[in-house]
Amino acid sequence: MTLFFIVTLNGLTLAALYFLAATGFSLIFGLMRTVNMAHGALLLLGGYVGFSVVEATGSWGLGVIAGGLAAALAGALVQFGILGWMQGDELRQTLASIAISIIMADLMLWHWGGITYQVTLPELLSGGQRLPLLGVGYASIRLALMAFALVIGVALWFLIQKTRFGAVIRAGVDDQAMLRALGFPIKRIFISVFALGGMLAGMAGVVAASALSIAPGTDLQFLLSSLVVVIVGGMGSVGGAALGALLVGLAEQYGLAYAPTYGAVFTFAIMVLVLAVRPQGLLGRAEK
Amino acid sequence: MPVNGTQNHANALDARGIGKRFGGFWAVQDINLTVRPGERRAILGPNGAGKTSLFNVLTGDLTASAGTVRLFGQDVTREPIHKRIRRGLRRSYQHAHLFEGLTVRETLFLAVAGVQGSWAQVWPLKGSDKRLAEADRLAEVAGLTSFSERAVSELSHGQRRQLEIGIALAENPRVLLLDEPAAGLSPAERPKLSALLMALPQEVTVVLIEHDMEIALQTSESVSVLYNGRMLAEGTPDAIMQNEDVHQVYLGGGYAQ
Amino acid sequence: MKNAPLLAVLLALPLFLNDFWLTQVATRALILGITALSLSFLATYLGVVSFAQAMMAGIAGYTIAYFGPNTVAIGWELPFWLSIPLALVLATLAGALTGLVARRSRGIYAIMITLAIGVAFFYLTRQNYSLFNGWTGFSGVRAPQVFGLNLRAPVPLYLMTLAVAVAALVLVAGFVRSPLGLTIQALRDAPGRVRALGIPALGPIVAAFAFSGFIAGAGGILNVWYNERISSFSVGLGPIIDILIICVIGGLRHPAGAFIGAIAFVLLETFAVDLIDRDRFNTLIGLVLLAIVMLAPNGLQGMAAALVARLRPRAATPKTSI
Repeated sequence: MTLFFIVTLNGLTLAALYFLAATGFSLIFGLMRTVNMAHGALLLLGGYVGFSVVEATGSWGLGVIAGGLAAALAGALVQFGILGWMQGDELRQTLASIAISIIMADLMLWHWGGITYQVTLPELLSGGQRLPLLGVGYASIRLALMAFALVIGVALWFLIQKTRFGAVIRAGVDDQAMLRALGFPIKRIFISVFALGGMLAGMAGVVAASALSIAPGTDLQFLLSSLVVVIVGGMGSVGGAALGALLVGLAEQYGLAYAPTYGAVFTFAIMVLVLAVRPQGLLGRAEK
Repeated sequence: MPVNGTQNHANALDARGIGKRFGGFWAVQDINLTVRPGERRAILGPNGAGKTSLFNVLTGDLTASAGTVRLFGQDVTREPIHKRIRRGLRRSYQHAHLFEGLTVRETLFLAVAGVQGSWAQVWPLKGSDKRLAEADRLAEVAGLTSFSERAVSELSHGQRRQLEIGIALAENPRVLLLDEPAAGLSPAERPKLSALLMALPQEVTVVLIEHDMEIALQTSESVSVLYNGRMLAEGTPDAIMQNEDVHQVYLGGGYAQ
Repeated sequence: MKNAPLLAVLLALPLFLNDFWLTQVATRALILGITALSLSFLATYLGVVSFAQAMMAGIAGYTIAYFGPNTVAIGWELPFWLSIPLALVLATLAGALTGLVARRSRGIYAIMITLAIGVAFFYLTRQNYSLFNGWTGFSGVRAPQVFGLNLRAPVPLYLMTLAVAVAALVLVAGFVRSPLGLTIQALRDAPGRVRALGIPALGPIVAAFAFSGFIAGAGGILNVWYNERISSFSVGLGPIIDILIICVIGGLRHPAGAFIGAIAFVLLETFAVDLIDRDRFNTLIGLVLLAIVMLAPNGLQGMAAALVARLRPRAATPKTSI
């Protein structure tokens, strides 16, 4: 039973990370129809920058912020400098973002090398907590990560449902042409959303480097999980990303614990099942 | 296609209580439409009356939200379009995508192979293939013989309409639904279309959506008028021209002088 | 046969090239080209860009390794005349399954789903030891000896690869002129309209993916003989992206683009060492991809076609015909 609880907690930890990574990917896709293949690279960049800042300053909070900002800046630059010029040509954007992800991954390998990094945790988060009711101990950083994802989720929900910026995004997800016709500065909106998506990915990278670890390949892992999470949950919806992340994170950990050599198949099976039953994703709206 | 003797007495098309809803909006509601075998029926109505939605439900492009559709007595309400095609139903589209990368001949060939169910052949076509001969016959009927090796993307608007008709006539249709076949044709092209429709074999049932009154009344023996998603009137062309309701909503009182 | 002179030159290549050029450049480009052809077939005729081709090629490669001589003591040995058809059948099935999963998806949705399939397969090969031997995979895979002739020797390997490449191109050219091939192209242009011809969409889509799996499988078999080993790295993101880059460089609008792209890719890879640090090859290839996507979306083949069209302004536009 203890194993089951631990595996469940591990699944929730992973789900929280996947959620943080996938919401940005999903928002960008929902609003602009851009499949940002460089999303994993943005996450890894955030993780590396966060690590370096924590090493230099000793402040974990500063590291998370710096990682988020670095990836936000990189995301905004990618949209401003490259992808924005091919808006509407989705295949070209996808290919261009693949090129960017290859270049970024290679340059990061050059600068940070092929080794695995783990961010030094602050005193407060470095120990473990004995959980009431379940009777198992669990790492504080992982519990903090789940809380963090929850806070981010609520904040995003508030941003999208209750603010003017959010109203513009929602309108854009439904009908991009209308937004343009109404005279909104669509280029600036797109760059801001790219920055927002990048920031979420970058912070997820620092958190991933704290709760787990990061290395070359982490970008691919999170790109894949983001893809599957939005395919399963539905594109362009925060709730969908949360639900998708929960399913994928839990399935991956149960798979790893109970069928270790076929873990990847579980993720894949969920995707196929959802595609068969609800092609638009569990909480997605049907494409017309 | 051989006509099954036991179904001879059934109506070609029998739609009961048809409704189609998009979200909260009913595009058509409570439509009853019965068409005898061999009948020529025109469907009229102002823009937004629900004519194309009704067609889409009859053909299976859309599933009905309410009601049943019968083809020669068989309930086909839940059948996808490709199965209804095999039962002898054909349609043309008003604004449809055609196969831009194929030639006219290839398109008509696929129309024939689709109805026959012989499209799954993996070896290359021989020039002597019977289906190609049939495609060439269709090209001739549609007046496209000299364009048969042209890519569809190079056709003019009028030629695309002709190709639509050619596709719909593949392999002896029993029920033909034509959605505004004359739309966008020049005045010179219209009589050709009328002649083509009137030259169809007597046993073919034709249901026609048409804005061009002349073509509609010339080629049809009965008329149904839709308005706001409901059936407003049905009858012979003469009766419809006299109908007060029809004058009010559609003809605006001016047509029958 | 307007291609006869080109074919004659290709057949004569072993007379002029040393082993390095013949094997590392010519043979390798042809093998990559065959696998890339499986993608450019899908992109050109079904209009779907698939990232699952490395998976299909990998399944054929793993089959050959598992059922052939290897040095990791996994699997059991079958005669090559059994293991080769088996590998092709499994790759074709893998293609069909991919088509089944992605049947409702076009454009970017198809890209996402096929990428997820490809990467999931990569993780599976890494985790699983009973079939795929995890990270390390299989080594010591040998091409068969036929009548005392070692097919891995430079000249036989080159000629065999050339034969497979020509056969694959002829197969594609024939297939796209068959009724099923025409149906697949019709689906690319107007999927809804195909159903209105009486044709259900599922069958042709699955068939197109299965056919591309067959071609990819042929490339995968040659690749495992060429490398004499296969591991999760052979089906990872690197190979997935390489296949795409080759098709994009060559041009996604014509099947021959796969081979043009493969030659450009191999030459770039071989001579990049002289230009930049060997370790920064990925940055270079990324920049090349970015430049092509931004400046010449139809790739080298498209550039060549545009040039020819400009020189001969009256020439008819290329099209498929019966």
